[in-house]
Amino acid sequence: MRRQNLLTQVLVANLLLMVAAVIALAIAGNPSLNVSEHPQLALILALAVALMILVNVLMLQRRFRPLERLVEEMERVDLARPGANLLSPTDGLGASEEVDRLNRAFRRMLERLEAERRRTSSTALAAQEQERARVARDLHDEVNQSLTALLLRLEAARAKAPVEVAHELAETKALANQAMEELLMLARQLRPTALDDLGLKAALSGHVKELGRRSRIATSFDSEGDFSGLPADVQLVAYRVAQEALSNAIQHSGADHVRVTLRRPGDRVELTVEDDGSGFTFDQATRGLGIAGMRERALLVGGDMHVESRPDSGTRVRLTVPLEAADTPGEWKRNGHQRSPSTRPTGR
Amino acid sequence: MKVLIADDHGIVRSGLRMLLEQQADIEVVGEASDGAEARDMAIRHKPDLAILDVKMPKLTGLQATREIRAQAPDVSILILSMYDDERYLFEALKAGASGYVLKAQADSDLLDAVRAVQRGEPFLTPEAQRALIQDVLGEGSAREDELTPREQEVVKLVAEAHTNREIAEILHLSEKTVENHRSNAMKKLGMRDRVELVRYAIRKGLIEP
Repeated sequence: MRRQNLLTQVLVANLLLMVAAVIALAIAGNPSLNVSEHPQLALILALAVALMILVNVLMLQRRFRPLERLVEEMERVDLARPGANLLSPTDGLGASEEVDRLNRAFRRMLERLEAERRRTSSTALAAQEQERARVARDLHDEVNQSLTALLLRLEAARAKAPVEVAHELAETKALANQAMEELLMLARQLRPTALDDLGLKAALSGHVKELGRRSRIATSFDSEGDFSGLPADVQLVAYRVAQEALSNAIQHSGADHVRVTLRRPGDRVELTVEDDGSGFTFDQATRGLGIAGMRERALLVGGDMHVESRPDSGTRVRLTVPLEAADTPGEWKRNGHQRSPSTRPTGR
Repeated sequence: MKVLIADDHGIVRSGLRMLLEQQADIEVVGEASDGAEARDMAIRHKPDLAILDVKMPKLTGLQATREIRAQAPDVSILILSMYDDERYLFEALKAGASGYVLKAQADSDLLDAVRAVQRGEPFLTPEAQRALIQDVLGEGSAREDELTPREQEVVKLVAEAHTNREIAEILHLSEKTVENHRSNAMKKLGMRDRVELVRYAIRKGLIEP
């Protein structure tokens, strides 16, 4: 069944009522009146009905406009951009009490949804960080110890083995070496211990250097300002955003150079990752470049993510985190990471 | 040459023993599974060399190194580490170790390191040497720890949830002294409770999180 819109439904109902009322009135006024004998009377009646319909349409349209605007707004809502949703207040002229209440109820619901969403994504990300830390620890403490033992035994066996076996054992050992290095790297990516130990600047600088060594892209890192005493959650978010942006630049951009800049103008932290690669279109960005994830993390510390990219003109990712706002989401800190009041970057 | 090995992972100890005992002139005289045991054995058996894992319970390899060097200066020490991180290297050398060997390169470096120590020379990989030179030429390592080594030891054990009595036993100190070190450390760090101390210990790499 096709649904008609509210305006039409009310209009049709009103129209029927009006026609019925006019006919009833005419008959009550003069029961013996025969409309066919008085065509001008019929015309007047028709005109009156038409006028009433017109007035009705105009008035109803005005009444219904706030409702339509509200519906439009509801359709536009994007929970990933909190605040932006409440920009155009519709409780303006002509809104009836019901529409006004609906509007306010919607706003309240939206606020609750946004709060709930922040809370759940904060919990989810904190849980993810914890899980990563656990896996990293296991890799370090268990798997790598076994590999160490394996290496030592292979070396022991190689030393007393006949030449042809010794050669094979040396190759096996090289494989174990490689596995170990890959595991250590993986553990470092999962949980950058340098971040806890040395602070954001040193950890990021180390990561950028390491990437430059391992990939064919030239990397550089610049920083300006003092980053000691940053809240641990802000450090973690900035590090993760940089990690993701760098990995995009290396894997997808085809760039020759990527530059990471960390600045602290006034009471905020600014991280920029820019490359001179092929850029991407909005379409590609929505498909798995992890930009949504970066934005999600930025939100957790009240930060803002800005991605500029056009095909063939490189990509620039900028994260800005105001430092007081970083205190708002509590879940993250409690579940994941302790603040480190004396984290001191060591200049290297 | 008498060697003591200490690692909290049994499989690593057995691998080390296997590799070392292949050398005709090396004898493994003991295995320890934590830092305190390693220190006690080193002081008791006076081996020529102690090979210590950098991260162990009760005392870290670095803390054990300090104590062994203080009480048995003839025992040379090699630190074995999973961490390719120059901070640990610097700390190890400061504590008095003769060398720093990465576990990922232990197969090729360990025996070289042992032989270097035997000749009375330090053992540093080329990367370690480069890091050291940079440190000397660069900003210098003017980041002294706020805590004395003894206070750090107490902090680690407190963070591992040992009682003052146990700590006194492990460190061979009186309970009163332990209490003093503990309150001094807390005061220096401006901390009120054990929870904060645990966080500090994790951050400093004194214990595993």
